[in-house]
This record gives sequence, structure tokens and C-alpha cells, in this order.
Amino acid sequence: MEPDDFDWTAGPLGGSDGSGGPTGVRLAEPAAVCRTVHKTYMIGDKEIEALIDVDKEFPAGRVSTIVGPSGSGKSSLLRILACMDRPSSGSVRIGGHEVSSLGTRRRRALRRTAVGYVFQNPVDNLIEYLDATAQLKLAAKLRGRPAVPADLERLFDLLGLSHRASHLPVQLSGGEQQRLAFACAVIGRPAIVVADEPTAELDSASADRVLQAVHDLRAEGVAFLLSSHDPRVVATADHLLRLEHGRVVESW
Amino acid sequence: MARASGPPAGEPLPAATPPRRPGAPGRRSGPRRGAGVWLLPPWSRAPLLAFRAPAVILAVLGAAAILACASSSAGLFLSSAGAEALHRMAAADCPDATYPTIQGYSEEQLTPSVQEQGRGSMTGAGLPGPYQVLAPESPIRLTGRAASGSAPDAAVNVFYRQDAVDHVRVLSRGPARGLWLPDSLASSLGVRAGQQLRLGKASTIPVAGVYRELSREPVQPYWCSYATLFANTGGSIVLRPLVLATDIGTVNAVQRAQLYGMTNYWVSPIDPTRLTLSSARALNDKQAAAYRAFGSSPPDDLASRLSGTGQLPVFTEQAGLIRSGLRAPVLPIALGGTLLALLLIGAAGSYWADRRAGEVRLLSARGVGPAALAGKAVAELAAPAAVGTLLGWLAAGWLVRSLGPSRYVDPGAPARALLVAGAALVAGLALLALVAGRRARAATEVTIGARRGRLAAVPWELALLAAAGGCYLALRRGQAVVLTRGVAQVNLLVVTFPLLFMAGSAVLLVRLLVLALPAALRRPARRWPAWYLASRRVTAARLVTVILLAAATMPIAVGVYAAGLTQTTQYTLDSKARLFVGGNSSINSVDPLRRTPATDRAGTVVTRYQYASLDGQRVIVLAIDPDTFAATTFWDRRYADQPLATLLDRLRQPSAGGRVPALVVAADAGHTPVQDDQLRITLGHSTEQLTVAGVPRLFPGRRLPLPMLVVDAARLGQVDPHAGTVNELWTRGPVDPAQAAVVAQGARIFDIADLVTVFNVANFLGISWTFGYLSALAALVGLVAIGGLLLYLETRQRSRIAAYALGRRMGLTRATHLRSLLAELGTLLITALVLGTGLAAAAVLLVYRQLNVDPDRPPAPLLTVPTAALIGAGIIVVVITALAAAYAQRAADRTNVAEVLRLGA
Repeated sequence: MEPDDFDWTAGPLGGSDGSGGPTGVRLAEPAAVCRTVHKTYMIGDKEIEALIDVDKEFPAGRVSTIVGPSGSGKSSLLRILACMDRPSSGSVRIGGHEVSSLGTRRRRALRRTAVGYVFQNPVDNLIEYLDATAQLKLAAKLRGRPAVPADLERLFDLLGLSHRASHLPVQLSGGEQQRLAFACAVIGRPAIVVADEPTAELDSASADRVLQAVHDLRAEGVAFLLSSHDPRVVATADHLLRLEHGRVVESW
Repeated sequence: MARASGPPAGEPLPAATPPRRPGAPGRRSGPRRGAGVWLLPPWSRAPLLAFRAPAVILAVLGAAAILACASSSAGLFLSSAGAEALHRMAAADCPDATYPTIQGYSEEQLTPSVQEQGRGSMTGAGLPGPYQVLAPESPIRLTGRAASGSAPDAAVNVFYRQDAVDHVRVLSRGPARGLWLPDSLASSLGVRAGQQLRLGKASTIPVAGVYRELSREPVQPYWCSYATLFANTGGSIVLRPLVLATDIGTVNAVQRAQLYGMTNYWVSPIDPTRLTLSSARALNDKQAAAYRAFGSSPPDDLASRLSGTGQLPVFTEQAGLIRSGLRAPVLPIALGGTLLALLLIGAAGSYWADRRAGEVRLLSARGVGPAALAGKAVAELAAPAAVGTLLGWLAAGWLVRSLGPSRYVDPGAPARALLVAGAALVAGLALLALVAGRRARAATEVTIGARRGRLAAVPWELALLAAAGGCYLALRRGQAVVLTRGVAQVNLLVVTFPLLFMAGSAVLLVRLLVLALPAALRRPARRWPAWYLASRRVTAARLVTVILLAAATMPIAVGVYAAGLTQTTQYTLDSKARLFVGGNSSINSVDPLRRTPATDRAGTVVTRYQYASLDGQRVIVLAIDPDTFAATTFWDRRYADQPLATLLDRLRQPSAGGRVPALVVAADAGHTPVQDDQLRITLGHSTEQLTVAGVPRLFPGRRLPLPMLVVDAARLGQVDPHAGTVNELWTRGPVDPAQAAVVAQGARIFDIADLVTVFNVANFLGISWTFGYLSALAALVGLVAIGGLLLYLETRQRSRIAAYALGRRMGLTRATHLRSLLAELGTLLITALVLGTGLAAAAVLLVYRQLNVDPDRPPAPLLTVPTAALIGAGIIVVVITALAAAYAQRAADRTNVAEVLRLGA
């Protein structure tokens, strides 16, 4: 399969096909699946096992939280699920496609079409010289979707950013930046949105609004995978995966 | 916060369409990859985005300027060198030596049509309007009238140039047309201005004037090319009085009366100070065209004709040789400089990726590939790079015009240099895109903790050292300097060997040093906080340290190497000339010279006997004055195996049997010309008994490859005047007082030998210019290293500032931090200075003996330490360390500590 053969036909967030969910993902099926995933790093001459036999399904239209202490393997798992890295062994399927053996170019194509990623620091998720509308348009076009004004307005309304549509990132608060980042991540309706501690840089009120936004967006049928130390994130999650020393110690 | 604002888990949702079959066309509506990305804001706005990061613009602009300067300077330099070689040769000759000339021998009258044909040939070929010179090929006989009534006659040379009379000292003037006689001739013929001279049997011609004989006047530049007509510079021709014709009609009148051969010259005056090789070639072509139009062929031996005029083809050929000889070493140097500058461009690309890390990482996370991001980098940086290229090209032109060799270059050279700079820009942008793309890929796509590639562990510098070894062996088998038709051309290996050797050794040494760095820095770290901070920074970024250390070592090594070989070569050439002459100059006379207070002030009197023999073998005897000799002559302990004072003492020592102590200098150093201590030599018809007082390897004043005996002049008896005696006054100072001291004794000067007469300086220009260009490369590498240092400081600024902010919270003082910066940068740069100097010394020691420009002439190359270059390198290192530390400290001082602590490093 060529890189651009992944086709995640958009729903209301990126051109409706009437399915209500991302193409390739039946909502009854998990958006992402990990099977006996192993990840080993080399630190000097020493091998470090970051992930050991991780098994987990991440359903579409749900918020899944990955928790664990520092060094437990959360970020490693997120990078693999975001198609930025490959597991050393095991299987990872996103939207029914096996991605663990894909080459760099195909994983890149998947990132473009099927994966949204939200960095921890809100400013890292936005391009400093584009206003909020342009950010969304760019995200949509990179995903190969038309930036339909109605969709953008709906997203802005959903996230409470309508009055900020023409503002530059520097004119937004941290919470607004992070909500806009989630809007960019879900536009074009990817299979999953991966967020690495999305509330870590925010104050309590802003974090609450971001989490509310995530829950509002899950209705679009996108699977959200959030890593966090924040108990509020855990409290709002539909599913949870707890890692310690690379192993799954709790999963529901 | 409420948990279930979305659909509950497990709730059925509208079914999605099944995945599209592989290869089936997808529905796409917007640009997202390939050429389409160029319409998206990060690309469409790219040219303006660069202005958001002025530091990146400056880095790229500077790097592109250095690249353009390095790549385009070679052509300009070669062109300038060709021009300068021409200028030097022209300056060493008569002012009109370079003037295009056509000439033709004639025994017939010069009709107006022939005159016009000559002039028209020159102007028709595009040459400036010529002046005409008629030079004698055979004499005429003039008859005068003495007071006694006799009719003395004389064979004279008749010369015509329109304004010749304006350049003589007029003693008396007569009619406007006729012949001007030198005063001695007028006197001997018994005629005055206005009187008639007889030409042949029936014709007469008036004496137009009498002028001071030119041989008794200082030679004016005007007469330089015609000096053979009145001064016995050739030494072998019979000089006849020079008679000046006022006009061509007078010349024709002479020719009507007597069979008389003349060479006609049409000479086009040009400005030789603005000549370039291409303009000289164009002039030569025009000269050839003028010859063709004149219906004649240019003579093969222009240089041997009337001295001076028309030698431009000879100079052009020689200058062309010098330039082509330079090309071999200069082009690889320029290539090396270009490659180094490309590294800086690559570093600038990396710096861009660093400064735009946030956007690059975001776009990469959204699936934008490295090619698109590389294109974005190029789109952002192409304009500053183009401006930098233009500036670099202008700088190259300015540098060549300012620093030489000449401020004049061929008219087409700047355009060609711009083309080269443009090609380098394209290569630079390609490299910049490559580096930016790789850095962009590393932002999200490189597997963390992947095994280190085997290639990274390979000491590839060993390949450089192996290549250097091969070059060195080839250099030892061949010659470092080749003389092609008298022009010294530096072997390419003299340049490539040290560059490969020093680059390979620098990287190897730095690699070994960095391996040992942590252990070396451990102990002092406990004693001094600044040193602790410095050592942590250095060891924390070992790779960067290696690169920076190697980058700083190279310019120092190349610079010291170039300076070392330049000074060694120049000193050796100077020594060869001084050994030949004896002092700086030698005033030579055939008349006896006495030692006087004036000669003592000027130098030392030496008598040379050129026709001496020892057991039938020709030898030279040099009779010196031991009291004044040492203060005047050239003596260097490195070529001499014994102290001069010891040798002179031996000449003064009494000897048994009245034998004169003598120093014996072999024809070839190392060979003893005599087996016996007691010598009997023949000097013309006289003989002398000598005893060998010493056998020095070399001795000043040896001008022929013959054994030489040196004796105390005062102890030598009466010598046969037919022993080929030449009396010389050697001087270390200016020539004029020495000349005056000789003239004051009534002695006639027939020759002055000085250092310039030993070697044709222009022939050795290529050597100094080669090393001069190598020095320029060193300066360029230094600029690259400084650029690298600035990028090093910039890219590490964030972590440095974060550490500073935290350190300040823990009580770190500003002074301690500044000291730590000085220690960090000082350690790096001083280590580079030591390594660079050591490598240069090793390379010079390996090469300098090969660089014997004239092996037949002693001494062998004398190693000379480039003290000024070493001191300069040390000062530069100190200044750069101080400035760079101040720059980094200033950046740290401007930091908002709270902001840094909030955002993190």
C-alpha cells in the first residue's frame, strides 16, 4: 500500500460521508489495538525495555487515559500509537491496519490522515503566525480535507472559541491554545488523537475546559488517547491503562 | 467535572464506510503533499518568515557570503596574479617595454606611404596611434673640418624619434633640421651647431645642435630602451657616437647619401600599469594583426631586439606560465575552502531547524515529510543566501583588489566568478535543504534509543591520514617546486599533503582527547566552580566539542603551515642570493680598491681572483679583510658548520714557513677539494704557498660552481694583475654610500651585484602567492570556525541560559559564570592553538626540505619559525575567547530568569 492509500473519509469535521465516524473504523471496533507490544531502547551499550507485552484496545469515540509514573513507558506507547515510532516487536493496528511494520513514509502518511497529535505545551501545537481559523484550515488541508467554513464554525462553537477565530496564538490563553490544538487534531476526523499530558501546562480551570472539550469532541467518533498524571483526566476517562516499568498493571 | 458528556462506551455509533481498497482513488479536496504544500501558509509565506528569526538570516547570509567568497576568489586571484606578474615584469624593464610594436628593417628611404602604412597597420588593428622610431642597423660616416684644415671623420649611429631632442641636455642649437651631435663627436669633428657636415662625397647636412653625450648623464626613462646605443651595457659591442636626426626627411637625406640600414619601429603607447593577462593577449593579437596588415612577420626574437620595445608577448607568455603554475595548487585550496564553507551552510541549515524547532516538529507530527520541510527551509533562506552570495562575491573582488596580488583582474573574471558563486549557492542550498530535512525528520521520525550505527564508530580520519601518507611519499619521490622555463611552480602535493595530514590528525587527536576528557576534567572540577561548570558543559556535548575543536584547530594549523613555509622559502631564497653576492650588494670594479674610512663605513673590501689554479684545477681565490668582513657579510649558523669568528681567527693565525692560511670551500658541499694541508696555487703568473686553515662547508661570495679559497688579503703577496682580478666592496646597507666610497678612490664601477640580480623575482612569485592563498584559506577556515563557534553558542544558548538561571538561584555569581565561559571557550581554543601549531610544525618539518627552489645554489632550505603568525594566532585566540564569552554572558544577562524557569530549557 502506498502512503496515501490510507483514506479516512471525513465525517462532519472534514466532509461528511454520512457514517458519523472515521473511515476504516467501525465504531464497534477499536480505533487502535496493541498486541504484545515490546519496545527496547539502547542507552549506550545497555538495553532498556520501555514496554513489555502491552495489550490494549482503544475504542473509537472514547477517551482512554494512559497513566503511570515517569519512565513507565507512557510516552513510548504514545509515540508508537502516533506512528512516530515502531515497536521492537508485537502488533499495533490503527483503524484495522497493521502499522508496526510500516516504513517511515507510510507511517508519515498515516500521521497525516489518521492520527492527530497534541503536545504537552500548548504553544507547541500552533503555528505562531497563523490565526485560529488559519490553524484549522491548515490542519484540514494537511489532512487532505476541505476547510469548510461551516465545519470550522461548528468546531469553534463546540470548543467555545468562536470569539477567538481571528486571534493569533499569542493572543490566546493557554487553555484556549490547547482547545484549539484539539480542534486542529480532530479536524478531518482522524482515527485517533494522541495527547501527551495535555493539561500539564494549564491551570485548573483551563484544564477543566480542555477536558470538557475533549469529551465534546469524542461524539465525533474519534478515539482519544491521553497520557496524564492529572487525576481529573483519569476521572473523566472512559478507559484506562496503567503502566509501571513498561508493563500493564491495570486496564479497563 | 462531569464524566459522561459524550456517548457512553459501547454505545453503537453510525457505521463507518469500509476502508478503501489499496490503490483506489481517494477523495481529496485540498493540497497536502508534493507541490500542493507550496500553497499552504507555512510555505507560501516562507520568504517572509525568515525575518522572524534575524539570527538565522545572519547565519545564512554570513555562511553564503563565505561560501561565495571561497568559491569565487580562486578565479579572481588567478586573474589578479597574472596581471601582477605582468606588472612586475614590466616594472623591471623599460617603461615602453610593453608597448605593442611592429618593426621592419629597411635600407631604402622611408616614403610617406610606408610611414602611413606602418601607422595605419597599428591603428587599423585597434592600437593607439604609434610614434615612430628609426634605430640604426649600420653606421654612416660623417666628415667634419678641423681648425687645422684637416677633415676628421667618424662612424656614427643615426637615431630618430620625434621628441628625442627634448630628452637630451642641449649645449648649443642651430637650424631646425639636421643632425644633433654629442659634444664629444662635435669636438672631434671640429664642428658647431649651424655648420655643415659632409655626407659621402657630394652631400652635406647641417648640424642642428650639440647635446651632452648620454653616457655622461644619468639615464632617463625615455632612453632606457635605447641604452645599448650609448652605454656599453652589453660589454661586447663597439659603441659609436649617437647622432639624432631631427626628422624623417633628414634620415632620408642621410640614406640618399650613403647605404644605410635602419630598423623602423612603430610603437603604440599603452598604460602598462592597468594590464591584465587577457588585455595583454588582446594587445598581442592586435600586434600580430598589425604585422599582418603591414605585410610582415613578427620576429621570433623580439626580446633580443632593441632592448625593451615590443616585449609584451614575452611577458605575456611568462605571466601565463606563472598563472597556470598557480592554478594547480590554488584550485584545490579553493575547493577545500568551498567544502569547509559548505559545512557552515549545513550548520546554518541545522541552526534553522533548531530555531524553527516548534513549527518543524508540529508539521512533522502532522505528517509533513522532510522533503517538504527542506523545501520550506530553502524557501525561507534562499533570499538571504542569495544576498549573502552577492556580498561574498563582492567581498572576493574587494579582497583581491585590496590584498592583491594586483588590483586589476581580467574583464571577464568577475562575471565568471559570479557564475561560480551562483553554482556554489545552488550547492549550498541543496546542502542546507538536506540538513534541514534530516533535522526535520529527526524531530519526530527517528527511533529513540536506536542502536548506534557502525559507521559512526569508524575513525574515518584514518583514511585522510592514509591519503596524506600517499601524498607525502609521492612528494618525496618528486619535486616540491618545478621550474618550467625558469618559472617556479609549486607541486600540488605541497598543498594537498598538509591539508589532508592536518585535517586527519586534527580529528584523530581531538577524538582521542575527548575520550580522555572526562577523566582529565574530574579532579579540577572539585576545586573551582567555574572550572566545574566549564568542564560539565564541554563533556555534556562531546560531539559538538569535537567538531568545534577540530574546526578551530584547522585554521591555526593551515595558517601556521603557510606562514612557516612562506617564511622558510623567502628566507632561503634570500640566503641563496646573499651567499652569492656576499652582502646585500657588491660594487665591482676592475680598479684596485683600498680600505678607507668610507669603505669601512660602507662594508668590506674583497678581492676576487678568477683565474687561479690548484694542481691544474681552476679555483677562485677570495682575498678578504678579516677585520671588516664579519660585520658585512651574510652568515647563518644553520648553513655554516663552523662559527665565522673561528674561521676568521684561523686566517689571522701565524703559520709556519710563511704560508698563507686559507679556508677551502668545496665546489659541492661535503666534498673536500684538497687532500693535503699544504697548497701551492697559481694566480696568473704568480704563485702562492698556502696552508689549509679550515674547510667550511659554505662561504659567502661563491658565485661559480668552483672550489674557492679564502685568504686574508693583507697576507697575500703581490698578485699578477692578469689573475682575473675583480675588486669588490660588499655592503649590507644602501648602495649609494658604497658607490661613493668606490668612486672617491677614482675606481671605475663596471657592475653592481645585488640580491635582485641573482634571481628573477617574477619567476618565484608563484611560490609566495601559493602560500599567500593558502594563508587566505586559513583565514577563511578561521571565519568558518568563528561562525561555527557562534552557532555553537547560539544553539546551546537555551540550555546554557536555563543552567545560568538555576545557578543564579543557587548562588552562582555573574563573575563565576563569566569565568566558566572563559574557561570553557579558552580551553577549547587554546587546545586548538596548541594542536594546530603542533600539526603545522610537523607538516612543515616534513615538507620544507623538499621546497628547495634552486637546489644547485646553496644553502639548502633554512627552516624559519613564523613568529609573527604564531603571536597573531595567539592574540586572535585570546580575543575570540574574550568576545565569545562576553557575547554568551550578555545573552545570559538578558535572560528573564522567571520565564526560563517557567518554560524550562
